Amino acid sequence: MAAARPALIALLLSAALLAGVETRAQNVAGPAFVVIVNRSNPVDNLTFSELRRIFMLDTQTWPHGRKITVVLREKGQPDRTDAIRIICGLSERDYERHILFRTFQGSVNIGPRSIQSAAAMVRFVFSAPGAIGYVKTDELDSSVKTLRIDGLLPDDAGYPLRRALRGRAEGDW
Amino acid sequence: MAALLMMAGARGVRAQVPETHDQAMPPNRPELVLHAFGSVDWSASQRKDTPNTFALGQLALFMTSAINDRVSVLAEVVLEASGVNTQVTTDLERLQLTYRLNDYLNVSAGRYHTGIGYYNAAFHHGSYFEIPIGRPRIFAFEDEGGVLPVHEVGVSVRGKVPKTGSALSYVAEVGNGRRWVDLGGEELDQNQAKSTNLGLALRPEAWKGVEVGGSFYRDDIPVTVDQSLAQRITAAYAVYRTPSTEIMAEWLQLTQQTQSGVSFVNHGGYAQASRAFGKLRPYYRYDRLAIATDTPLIGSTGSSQAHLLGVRVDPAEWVGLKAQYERRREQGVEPFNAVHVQLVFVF
Repeated sequence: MAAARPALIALLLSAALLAGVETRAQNVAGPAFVVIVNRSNPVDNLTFSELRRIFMLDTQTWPHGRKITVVLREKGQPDRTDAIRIICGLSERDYERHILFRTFQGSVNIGPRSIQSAAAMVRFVFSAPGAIGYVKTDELDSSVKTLRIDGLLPDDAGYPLRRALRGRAEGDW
Repeated sequence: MAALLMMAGARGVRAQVPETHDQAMPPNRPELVLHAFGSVDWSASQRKDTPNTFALGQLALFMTSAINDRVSVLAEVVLEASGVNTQVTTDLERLQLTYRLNDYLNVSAGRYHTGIGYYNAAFHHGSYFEIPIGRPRIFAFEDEGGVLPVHEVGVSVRGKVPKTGSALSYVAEVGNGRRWVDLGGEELDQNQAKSTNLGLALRPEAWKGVEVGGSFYRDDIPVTVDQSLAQRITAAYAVYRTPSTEIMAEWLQLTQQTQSGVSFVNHGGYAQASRAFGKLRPYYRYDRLAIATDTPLIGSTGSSQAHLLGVRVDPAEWVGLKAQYERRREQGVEPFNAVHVQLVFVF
Protein backbone atom coordinates (compact mmCIF):
# COMPACT_ATOMS: atom_id res chain seq x y z
CA MET A 1 0.00 0.00 0.00
CA ALA A 2 2.86 2.29 0.99
CA ALA A 3 4.67 1.47 -2.26
CA ALA A 4 1.55 2.12 -4.25
CA ARG A 5 1.30 5.74 -3.04
CA PRO A 6 4.44 7.06 -4.85
CA ALA A 7 3.33 5.25 -7.96
CA LEU A 8 -0.07 6.87 -7.77
CA ILE A 9 1.53 10.29 -7.27
CA ALA A 10 3.86 9.69 -10.19
CA LEU A 11 0.94 8.62 -12.33
CA LEU A 12 -1.02 11.75 -11.45
CA LEU A 13 2.03 13.96 -12.07
CA SER A 14 2.63 12.29 -15.41
CA ALA A 15 -0.98 12.77 -16.39
CA ALA A 16 -0.80 16.42 -15.40
CA LEU A 17 2.41 16.94 -17.33
CA LEU A 18 1.01 15.16 -20.37
CA ALA A 19 -2.07 17.32 -20.21
CA GLY A 20 0.16 20.37 -20.06
CA VAL A 21 2.23 19.20 -22.98
CA GLU A 22 -0.93 18.51 -24.95
CA THR A 23 -2.30 21.94 -24.18
CA ARG A 24 0.94 23.63 -25.21
CA ALA A 25 1.01 21.53 -28.34
CA GLN A 26 -2.50 22.70 -29.23
CA ASN A 27 -1.50 26.30 -28.64
CA VAL A 28 1.46 26.01 -30.96
CA ALA A 29 0.02 23.77 -33.63
CA GLY A 30 -3.45 25.23 -34.03
CA PRO A 31 -4.43 26.13 -37.58
CA ALA A 32 -4.61 29.79 -38.48
CA PHE A 33 -7.45 31.69 -40.07
CA VAL A 34 -6.63 33.48 -43.28
CA VAL A 35 -8.51 36.70 -43.92
CA ILE A 36 -9.71 36.84 -47.51
CA VAL A 37 -11.09 39.58 -49.72
CA ASN A 38 -12.04 39.91 -53.36
CA ARG A 39 -9.07 40.08 -55.73
CA SER A 40 -10.22 43.54 -56.94
CA ASN A 41 -9.86 44.95 -53.42
CA PRO A 42 -6.79 47.24 -53.31
CA VAL A 43 -6.26 46.69 -49.57
CA ASP A 44 -3.32 44.38 -48.79
CA ASN A 45 -2.92 44.79 -45.05
CA LEU A 46 -5.09 45.52 -42.01
CA THR A 47 -4.06 46.11 -38.45
CA PHE A 48 -5.71 43.80 -35.96
CA SER A 49 -7.66 46.80 -34.61
CA GLU A 50 -8.92 47.62 -38.10
CA LEU A 51 -9.94 43.99 -38.61
CA ARG A 52 -11.78 44.00 -35.30
CA ARG A 53 -13.63 47.20 -36.17
CA ILE A 54 -14.69 45.68 -39.48
CA PHE A 55 -16.06 42.51 -37.90
CA MET A 56 -17.76 44.55 -35.16
CA LEU A 57 -19.33 46.62 -37.98
CA ASP A 58 -17.83 49.81 -36.56
CA THR A 59 -16.12 50.27 -39.92
CA GLN A 60 -18.46 49.63 -42.83
CA THR A 61 -16.68 50.96 -45.89
CA TRP A 62 -13.28 50.23 -47.42
CA PRO A 63 -10.88 53.15 -47.85
CA HIS A 64 -11.73 53.18 -51.57
CA GLY A 65 -15.40 53.70 -50.70
CA ARG A 66 -16.95 50.31 -51.37
CA LYS A 67 -19.32 48.93 -48.72
CA ILE A 68 -17.85 46.11 -46.62
CA THR A 69 -19.77 42.85 -46.42
CA VAL A 70 -18.61 40.73 -43.49
CA VAL A 71 -18.97 37.01 -44.04
CA LEU A 72 -19.06 34.46 -41.22
CA ARG A 73 -19.68 30.75 -41.05
CA GLU A 74 -23.11 29.58 -39.92
CA LYS A 75 -24.32 29.87 -36.35
CA GLY A 76 -22.92 27.25 -34.02
CA GLN A 77 -20.07 26.15 -36.30
CA PRO A 78 -16.66 26.09 -34.57
CA ASP A 79 -15.16 28.18 -37.36
CA ARG A 80 -17.68 30.89 -36.53
CA THR A 81 -17.37 30.87 -32.76
CA ASP A 82 -13.56 30.72 -32.92
CA ALA A 83 -13.34 33.57 -35.42
CA ILE A 84 -15.67 35.77 -33.35
CA ARG A 85 -13.71 34.97 -30.19
CA ILE A 86 -10.28 35.57 -31.73
CA ILE A 87 -11.13 38.66 -33.76
CA CYS A 88 -13.75 40.34 -31.59
CA GLY A 89 -13.02 38.88 -28.16
CA LEU A 90 -16.69 37.96 -27.76
CA SER A 91 -18.84 34.88 -27.41
CA GLU A 92 -21.13 34.20 -30.34
CA ARG A 93 -24.14 35.23 -28.23
CA ASP A 94 -22.60 38.55 -27.19
CA TYR A 95 -21.60 39.18 -30.78
CA GLU A 96 -25.14 38.66 -32.02
CA ARG A 97 -26.47 40.97 -29.31
CA HIS A 98 -23.93 43.59 -30.33
CA ILE A 99 -24.95 43.35 -33.99
CA LEU A 100 -28.66 43.56 -33.18
CA PHE A 101 -28.02 46.50 -30.83
CA ARG A 102 -26.14 48.37 -33.56
CA THR A 103 -28.88 47.49 -36.05
CA PHE A 104 -31.57 48.74 -33.67
CA GLN A 105 -29.61 51.96 -33.21
CA GLY A 106 -29.69 52.42 -36.97
CA SER A 107 -25.89 52.21 -37.27
CA VAL A 108 -26.05 48.96 -39.25
CA ASN A 109 -28.65 47.99 -41.80
CA ILE A 110 -27.65 44.46 -42.70
CA GLY A 111 -25.53 42.30 -40.41
CA PRO A 112 -22.85 39.81 -41.40
CA ARG A 113 -23.72 37.12 -43.93
CA SER A 114 -23.65 33.53 -42.78
CA ILE A 115 -22.19 30.94 -45.10
CA GLN A 116 -22.50 27.21 -44.68
CA SER A 117 -19.05 26.06 -45.77
CA ALA A 118 -15.54 27.27 -46.40
CA ALA A 119 -15.87 26.57 -50.12
CA ALA A 120 -19.06 28.64 -50.25
CA MET A 121 -17.33 31.45 -48.36
CA VAL A 122 -14.51 31.53 -50.89
CA ARG A 123 -17.05 31.58 -53.73
CA PHE A 124 -18.97 34.41 -52.06
CA VAL A 125 -15.86 36.54 -51.53
CA PHE A 126 -14.84 35.82 -55.13
CA SER A 127 -18.25 37.11 -56.30
CA ALA A 128 -18.69 40.12 -53.96
CA PRO A 129 -16.15 42.95 -54.46
CA GLY A 130 -16.64 44.37 -50.94
CA ALA A 131 -16.69 41.08 -49.03
CA ILE A 132 -14.30 40.04 -46.27
CA GLY A 133 -14.24 36.53 -44.86
CA TYR A 134 -11.86 33.95 -43.50
CA VAL A 135 -10.92 30.34 -44.06
CA LYS A 136 -8.34 27.97 -42.71
CA THR A 137 -5.04 27.82 -44.56
CA ASP A 138 -5.83 24.47 -46.16
CA GLU A 139 -9.19 25.79 -47.45
CA LEU A 140 -7.68 28.69 -49.36
CA ASP A 141 -7.47 28.90 -53.13
CA SER A 142 -6.18 31.48 -55.59
CA SER A 143 -9.59 32.88 -56.53
CA VAL A 144 -9.44 35.27 -53.56
CA LYS A 145 -6.83 37.56 -52.05
CA THR A 146 -5.18 36.97 -48.68
CA LEU A 147 -4.77 39.96 -46.39
CA ARG A 148 -1.81 40.52 -44.12
CA ILE A 149 -2.77 41.25 -40.53
CA ASP A 150 -0.37 43.61 -38.78
CA GLY A 151 1.91 42.95 -41.74
CA LEU A 152 1.98 39.20 -41.09
CA LEU A 153 0.84 36.17 -43.05
CA PRO A 154 -0.32 32.90 -41.43
CA ASP A 155 3.11 31.27 -41.65
CA ASP A 156 4.80 34.18 -39.89
CA ALA A 157 5.60 34.08 -36.19
CA GLY A 158 3.21 36.21 -34.15
CA TYR A 159 0.36 35.98 -36.66
CA PRO A 160 -2.65 37.07 -34.56
CA LEU A 161 -5.34 34.78 -36.01
CA ARG A 162 -4.00 31.45 -34.89
CA ARG A 163 -6.96 29.33 -33.89
CA ALA A 164 -5.61 27.94 -30.64
CA LEU A 165 -4.52 31.38 -29.54
CA ARG A 166 -6.99 32.20 -26.83
CA GLY A 167 -8.50 35.65 -27.15
CA ARG A 168 -9.24 37.87 -24.22
CA ALA A 169 -11.83 36.59 -21.78
CA GLU A 170 -15.28 36.66 -23.27
CA GLY A 171 -17.24 39.67 -22.16
CA ASP A 172 -14.11 41.70 -21.44
CA TRP A 173 -13.07 43.67 -24.46
CA MET B 1 -49.54 47.31 -40.62
CA ALA B 2 -50.99 44.28 -42.39
CA ALA B 3 -49.45 45.54 -45.60
CA LEU B 4 -46.06 45.82 -43.92
CA LEU B 5 -46.28 42.29 -42.61
CA MET B 6 -47.36 40.99 -46.02
CA MET B 7 -44.44 42.78 -47.62
CA ALA B 8 -42.11 41.20 -45.11
CA GLY B 9 -43.52 37.78 -45.88
CA ALA B 10 -43.24 38.29 -49.59
CA ARG B 11 -39.56 39.11 -49.37
CA GLY B 12 -38.77 36.33 -46.96
CA VAL B 13 -38.00 37.66 -43.51
CA ARG B 14 -34.63 36.50 -42.25
CA ALA B 15 -33.03 36.73 -38.87
CA GLN B 16 -30.35 39.40 -38.57
CA VAL B 17 -27.30 37.23 -38.13
CA PRO B 18 -27.90 33.56 -38.87
CA GLU B 19 -28.58 33.96 -42.54
CA THR B 20 -27.81 31.10 -44.87
CA HIS B 21 -26.71 31.85 -48.37
CA ASP B 22 -26.86 28.55 -50.19
CA GLN B 23 -25.64 29.72 -53.56
CA ALA B 24 -22.76 31.69 -52.04
CA MET B 25 -23.66 34.57 -54.29
CA PRO B 26 -24.36 38.16 -53.27
CA PRO B 27 -28.10 38.96 -53.29
CA ASN B 28 -29.38 40.92 -56.25
CA ARG B 29 -32.45 42.41 -54.57
CA PRO B 30 -33.14 44.25 -51.30
CA GLU B 31 -33.64 42.11 -48.23
CA LEU B 32 -35.85 43.04 -45.32
CA VAL B 33 -34.77 42.41 -41.74
CA LEU B 34 -37.67 42.36 -39.30
CA HIS B 35 -37.53 42.07 -35.52
CA ALA B 36 -40.12 42.57 -32.80
CA PHE B 37 -39.30 43.70 -29.26
CA GLY B 38 -41.92 43.06 -26.61
CA SER B 39 -42.41 43.04 -22.85
CA VAL B 40 -44.83 41.96 -20.16
CA ASP B 41 -44.76 43.93 -16.92
CA TRP B 42 -45.96 43.68 -13.35
CA SER B 43 -45.67 46.48 -10.85
CA ALA B 44 -46.73 47.26 -7.31
CA SER B 45 -46.38 50.47 -5.35
CA GLN B 46 -46.92 51.76 -1.82
CA ARG B 47 -49.07 54.51 -3.25
CA LYS B 48 -52.65 53.80 -2.31
CA ASP B 49 -54.02 55.08 -5.61
CA THR B 50 -51.90 52.59 -7.57
CA PRO B 51 -52.96 48.93 -7.34
CA ASN B 52 -50.51 46.23 -8.31
CA THR B 53 -51.09 45.28 -11.90
CA PHE B 54 -49.91 43.29 -14.89
CA ALA B 55 -49.50 45.16 -18.14
CA LEU B 56 -48.42 44.64 -21.68
CA GLY B 57 -45.47 46.77 -22.61
CA GLN B 58 -44.82 48.24 -25.99
CA LEU B 59 -44.47 45.92 -28.95
CA ALA B 60 -41.88 47.54 -31.19
CA LEU B 61 -41.78 46.27 -34.76
CA PHE B 62 -38.41 47.12 -36.19
CA MET B 63 -37.54 46.72 -39.84
CA THR B 64 -34.60 47.71 -41.95
CA SER B 65 -33.53 47.10 -45.49
CA ALA B 66 -30.55 48.00 -47.64
CA ILE B 67 -31.98 49.20 -50.92
CA ASN B 68 -28.50 49.25 -52.38
CA ASP B 69 -24.90 49.62 -51.14
CA ARG B 70 -25.45 53.21 -50.15
CA VAL B 71 -29.15 53.64 -49.39
CA SER B 72 -31.06 51.96 -46.60
CA VAL B 73 -34.37 52.42 -44.86
CA LEU B 74 -35.31 51.87 -41.21
CA ALA B 75 -38.72 51.91 -39.59
CA GLU B 76 -39.92 51.34 -36.05
CA VAL B 77 -43.62 50.96 -35.42
CA VAL B 78 -44.80 50.68 -31.83
CA LEU B 79 -48.05 49.01 -30.84
CA GLU B 80 -49.42 49.78 -27.39
CA ALA B 81 -52.29 47.81 -25.97
CA SER B 82 -54.87 49.54 -23.87
CA GLY B 83 -54.93 48.52 -20.24
CA VAL B 84 -58.69 48.08 -20.17
CA ASN B 85 -59.61 46.54 -23.50
CA THR B 86 -58.09 45.13 -26.65
CA GLN B 87 -57.68 48.45 -28.41
CA VAL B 88 -54.24 49.05 -29.83
CA THR B 89 -52.66 52.38 -30.60
CA THR B 90 -50.00 52.55 -33.29
CA ASP B 91 -47.15 55.05 -33.42
CA LEU B 92 -44.58 55.44 -36.16
CA GLU B 93 -41.63 56.17 -33.87
CA ARG B 94 -38.87 56.11 -36.46
CA LEU B 95 -38.75 56.21 -40.23
CA GLN B 96 -35.40 57.03 -41.77
CA LEU B 97 -34.02 56.89 -45.25
CA THR B 98 -30.24 56.89 -44.98
CA TYR B 99 -27.57 57.58 -47.56
CA ARG B 100 -24.15 56.25 -46.51
CA LEU B 101 -21.38 57.77 -48.54
CA ASN B 102 -18.74 56.23 -46.30
CA ASP B 103 -17.95 55.93 -42.59
CA TYR B 104 -17.49 59.70 -42.41
CA LEU B 105 -20.81 60.82 -43.86
CA ASN B 106 -24.22 59.24 -43.32
CA VAL B 107 -27.23 61.41 -44.07
CA SER B 108 -30.67 60.39 -42.83
CA ALA B 109 -34.00 62.04 -43.46
CA GLY B 110 -37.20 61.26 -41.63
CA ARG B 111 -38.21 60.76 -38.00
CA TYR B 112 -35.42 59.77 -35.64
CA HIS B 113 -34.36 59.81 -32.02
CA THR B 114 -32.64 63.12 -31.36
CA GLY B 115 -28.93 62.78 -30.68
CA ILE B 116 -29.16 64.52 -27.32
CA GLY B 117 -26.60 62.93 -25.02
CA TYR B 118 -26.07 59.17 -25.13
CA TYR B 119 -29.15 57.34 -23.89
CA ASN B 120 -31.65 58.70 -26.35
CA ALA B 121 -29.72 57.69 -29.44
CA ALA B 122 -28.61 54.35 -28.00
CA PHE B 123 -31.89 53.02 -26.60
CA HIS B 124 -35.16 53.09 -28.42
CA HIS B 125 -38.60 51.65 -27.78
CA GLY B 126 -37.75 48.00 -27.39
CA SER B 127 -36.64 47.63 -23.78
CA TYR B 128 -34.66 44.41 -24.32
CA PHE B 129 -31.31 46.19 -24.47
CA GLU B 130 -31.92 48.36 -21.42
CA ILE B 131 -30.64 46.76 -18.24
CA PRO B 132 -32.96 48.49 -15.71
CA ILE B 133 -36.72 48.66 -16.17
CA GLY B 134 -37.66 51.97 -17.75
CA ARG B 135 -35.76 54.91 -19.12
CA PRO B 136 -34.13 57.54 -16.95
CA ARG B 137 -36.73 60.19 -16.10
CA ILE B 138 -34.90 62.86 -18.09
CA PHE B 139 -35.21 60.69 -21.22
CA ALA B 140 -38.89 59.80 -20.78
CA PHE B 141 -40.85 59.77 -24.03
CA GLU B 142 -42.91 62.84 -24.88
CA ASP B 143 -46.23 61.02 -24.42
CA GLU B 144 -45.12 59.83 -20.99
CA GLY B 145 -44.49 63.30 -19.60
CA GLY B 146 -40.95 63.68 -20.89
CA VAL B 147 -39.23 67.04 -20.90
CA LEU B 148 -37.02 66.56 -23.95
CA PRO B 149 -37.62 66.55 -27.68
CA VAL B 150 -36.91 62.81 -27.82
CA HIS B 151 -38.08 62.47 -31.41
CA GLU B 152 -37.55 64.85 -34.31
CA VAL B 153 -38.56 65.02 -37.93
CA GLY B 154 -35.79 66.39 -40.07
CA VAL B 155 -32.34 65.57 -41.34
CA SER B 156 -29.59 63.91 -39.34
CA VAL B 157 -25.95 63.67 -40.41
CA ARG B 158 -23.62 61.26 -38.62
CA GLY B 159 -20.17 59.87 -39.09
CA LYS B 160 -16.65 59.52 -37.89
CA VAL B 161 -14.30 62.47 -37.89
CA PRO B 162 -11.51 61.81 -40.42
CA LYS B 163 -7.92 61.55 -39.21
CA THR B 164 -8.96 60.53 -35.70
CA GLY B 165 -8.48 56.81 -36.13
CA SER B 166 -12.24 56.22 -35.88
CA ALA B 167 -12.13 57.46 -32.29
CA LEU B 168 -14.12 60.65 -32.74
CA SER B 169 -17.62 60.74 -34.20
CA TYR B 170 -20.12 63.52 -34.73
CA VAL B 171 -23.82 64.10 -35.18
CA ALA B 172 -25.50 67.17 -36.65
CA GLU B 173 -29.26 67.45 -36.89
CA VAL B 174 -31.79 69.94 -38.20
CA GLY B 175 -35.42 69.30 -37.39
CA ASN B 176 -38.81 70.74 -36.65
CA GLY B 177 -38.36 70.62 -32.91
CA ARG B 178 -40.98 69.38 -30.51
CA ARG B 179 -44.54 70.60 -30.89
CA TRP B 180 -45.17 71.75 -27.33
CA VAL B 181 -48.25 73.92 -27.80
CA ASP B 182 -51.03 73.42 -30.30
CA LEU B 183 -51.48 76.74 -32.07
CA GLY B 184 -53.67 75.23 -34.77
CA GLY B 185 -52.74 74.17 -38.25
CA GLU B 186 -51.64 70.80 -39.51
CA GLU B 187 -47.96 71.55 -39.93
CA LEU B 188 -45.55 69.62 -37.73
CA ASP B 189 -43.54 72.79 -37.09
CA GLN B 190 -45.38 75.90 -36.03
CA ASN B 191 -42.72 78.49 -36.77
CA GLN B 192 -39.93 79.13 -39.23
CA ALA B 193 -37.14 78.36 -36.76
CA LYS B 194 -35.67 74.89 -36.99
CA SER B 195 -34.14 73.01 -34.11
CA THR B 196 -30.46 72.17 -34.40
CA ASN B 197 -28.37 69.69 -32.49
CA LEU B 198 -24.64 69.09 -32.56
CA GLY B 199 -22.83 66.31 -30.76
CA LEU B 200 -19.38 64.79 -30.47
CA ALA B 201 -18.38 61.42 -29.04
CA LEU B 202 -14.92 60.06 -28.31
CA ARG B 203 -14.30 56.30 -28.19
CA PRO B 204 -10.59 55.76 -27.60
CA GLU B 205 -9.28 52.66 -29.35
CA ALA B 206 -7.09 51.82 -26.38
CA TRP B 207 -10.02 51.79 -23.94
CA LYS B 208 -12.57 49.40 -25.40
CA GLY B 209 -16.12 50.18 -24.32
CA VAL B 210 -15.36 53.71 -23.14
CA GLU B 211 -17.25 56.60 -24.68
CA VAL B 212 -17.37 60.22 -23.56
CA GLY B 213 -19.28 62.90 -25.33
CA GLY B 214 -21.64 65.79 -25.30
CA SER B 215 -24.22 67.61 -27.34
CA PHE B 216 -25.85 71.00 -27.67
CA TYR B 217 -29.43 71.44 -28.84
CA ARG B 218 -31.24 74.68 -29.57
CA ASP B 219 -34.72 75.61 -30.72
CA ASP B 220 -37.19 78.49 -30.65
CA ILE B 221 -40.52 77.23 -29.41
CA PRO B 222 -43.69 79.18 -30.26
CA VAL B 223 -45.82 79.42 -27.12
CA THR B 224 -48.39 81.84 -28.52
CA VAL B 225 -48.98 83.21 -31.99
CA ASP B 226 -46.47 86.04 -31.43
CA GLN B 227 -44.36 84.80 -28.50
CA SER B 228 -41.60 82.24 -28.52
CA LEU B 229 -39.24 80.64 -26.05
CA ALA B 230 -35.57 79.97 -26.66
CA GLN B 231 -34.66 76.44 -25.60
CA ARG B 232 -31.10 75.20 -25.10
CA ILE B 233 -30.18 71.68 -23.97
CA THR B 234 -26.61 70.84 -23.08
CA ALA B 235 -25.68 67.21 -22.39
CA ALA B 236 -22.49 65.53 -21.23
CA TYR B 237 -21.89 61.84 -20.60
CA ALA B 238 -19.36 59.16 -19.84
CA VAL B 239 -20.09 55.52 -20.61
CA TYR B 240 -18.28 52.22 -20.20
CA ARG B 241 -20.19 49.37 -21.85
CA THR B 242 -19.02 45.84 -22.53
CA PRO B 243 -21.14 42.69 -22.70
CA SER B 244 -20.52 42.06 -19.00
CA THR B 245 -20.17 45.54 -17.49
CA GLU B 246 -22.09 48.75 -17.89
CA ILE B 247 -21.30 52.04 -16.18
CA MET B 248 -23.13 55.07 -17.47
CA ALA B 249 -23.48 58.62 -16.22
CA GLU B 250 -25.13 61.51 -17.97
CA TRP B 251 -26.13 65.02 -17.00
CA LEU B 252 -28.23 67.54 -18.90
CA GLN B 253 -28.93 71.21 -18.46
CA LEU B 254 -32.18 72.56 -19.86
CA THR B 255 -32.34 76.32 -20.33
CA GLN B 256 -35.41 78.21 -21.46
CA GLN B 257 -35.42 81.93 -22.03
CA THR B 258 -38.44 84.12 -22.66
CA GLN B 259 -38.37 86.99 -25.14
CA SER B 260 -38.22 89.38 -22.20
CA GLY B 261 -34.94 87.76 -21.13
CA VAL B 262 -36.09 85.69 -18.14
CA SER B 263 -34.15 82.44 -17.96
CA PHE B 264 -35.12 79.13 -16.38
CA VAL B 265 -32.31 76.66 -15.86
CA ASN B 266 -33.12 73.08 -14.90
CA HIS B 267 -31.17 69.85 -14.68
CA GLY B 268 -31.56 66.13 -14.90
CA GLY B 269 -29.47 63.04 -15.24
CA TYR B 270 -28.68 59.58 -14.04
CA ALA B 271 -25.84 57.28 -13.10
CA GLN B 272 -26.15 53.52 -13.39
CA ALA B 273 -23.98 50.46 -13.13
CA SER B 274 -24.38 46.74 -13.70
CA ARG B 275 -22.14 43.71 -13.85
CA ALA B 276 -22.94 40.23 -15.13
CA PHE B 277 -22.10 37.25 -12.92
CA GLY B 278 -22.95 34.34 -15.16
CA LYS B 279 -26.62 34.70 -16.04
CA LEU B 280 -27.31 37.06 -13.14
CA ARG B 281 -26.82 40.77 -13.63
CA PRO B 282 -27.42 43.03 -10.63
CA TYR B 283 -27.79 46.72 -11.33
CA TYR B 284 -28.31 50.09 -9.73
CA ARG B 285 -29.46 53.44 -11.08
CA TYR B 286 -29.67 56.85 -9.48
CA ASP B 287 -32.22 58.93 -11.36
CA ARG B 288 -32.65 62.68 -10.86
CA LEU B 289 -34.79 65.35 -12.44
CA ALA B 290 -34.87 68.90 -11.04
CA ILE B 291 -37.46 71.10 -12.72
CA ALA B 292 -38.60 74.38 -11.14
CA THR B 293 -42.38 74.54 -11.10
CA ASP B 294 -42.47 78.02 -12.64
CA THR B 295 -40.61 76.86 -15.77
CA PRO B 296 -42.71 77.36 -18.90
CA LEU B 297 -43.93 74.20 -20.67
CA ILE B 298 -42.23 71.66 -18.38
CA GLY B 299 -42.80 73.14 -14.90
CA SER B 300 -45.69 70.80 -14.15
CA THR B 301 -43.33 67.83 -14.45
CA GLY B 302 -41.74 68.86 -11.17
CA SER B 303 -38.71 67.28 -9.59
CA SER B 304 -38.07 63.65 -8.79
CA GLN B 305 -35.35 61.45 -7.43
CA ALA B 306 -35.17 57.67 -7.43
CA HIS B 307 -32.85 54.86 -6.43
CA LEU B 308 -33.36 51.71 -8.49
CA LEU B 309 -31.90 48.40 -7.43
CA GLY B 310 -32.55 45.27 -9.41
CA VAL B 311 -31.34 42.12 -11.03
CA ARG B 312 -31.65 40.88 -14.56
CA VAL B 313 -31.41 37.27 -15.63
CA ASP B 314 -31.44 36.02 -19.20
CA PRO B 315 -32.93 32.51 -18.94
CA ALA B 316 -32.80 31.92 -22.68
CA GLU B 317 -31.41 33.54 -25.77
CA TRP B 318 -33.24 36.77 -26.54
CA VAL B 319 -35.29 36.58 -23.34
CA GLY B 320 -34.62 38.66 -20.24
CA LEU B 321 -36.31 38.84 -16.85
CA LYS B 322 -35.81 41.89 -14.65
CA ALA B 323 -36.89 42.44 -11.05
CA GLN B 324 -36.47 45.91 -9.63
CA TYR B 325 -37.00 47.72 -6.35
CA GLU B 326 -37.42 51.50 -6.41
CA ARG B 327 -37.31 54.14 -3.74
CA ARG B 328 -38.86 57.17 -5.39
CA ARG B 329 -39.30 60.72 -4.20
CA GLU B 330 -41.52 63.02 -6.27
CA GLN B 331 -42.49 66.60 -5.75
CA GLY B 332 -45.69 66.95 -3.75
CA VAL B 333 -45.88 63.24 -2.97
CA GLU B 334 -44.69 61.28 0.06
CA PRO B 335 -41.63 59.15 -0.76
CA PHE B 336 -42.72 55.66 -1.68
CA ASN B 337 -41.37 52.24 -2.55
CA ALA B 338 -42.27 50.29 -5.65
CA VAL B 339 -41.49 46.93 -7.18
CA HIS B 340 -41.43 46.14 -10.89
CA VAL B 341 -40.96 42.89 -12.78
CA GLN B 342 -40.48 42.89 -16.53
CA LEU B 343 -40.15 40.09 -19.05
CA VAL B 344 -38.49 41.30 -22.25
CA PHE B 345 -37.97 39.42 -25.48
CA VAL B 346 -36.93 39.73 -29.10
CA PHE B 347 -38.07 37.61 -31.98
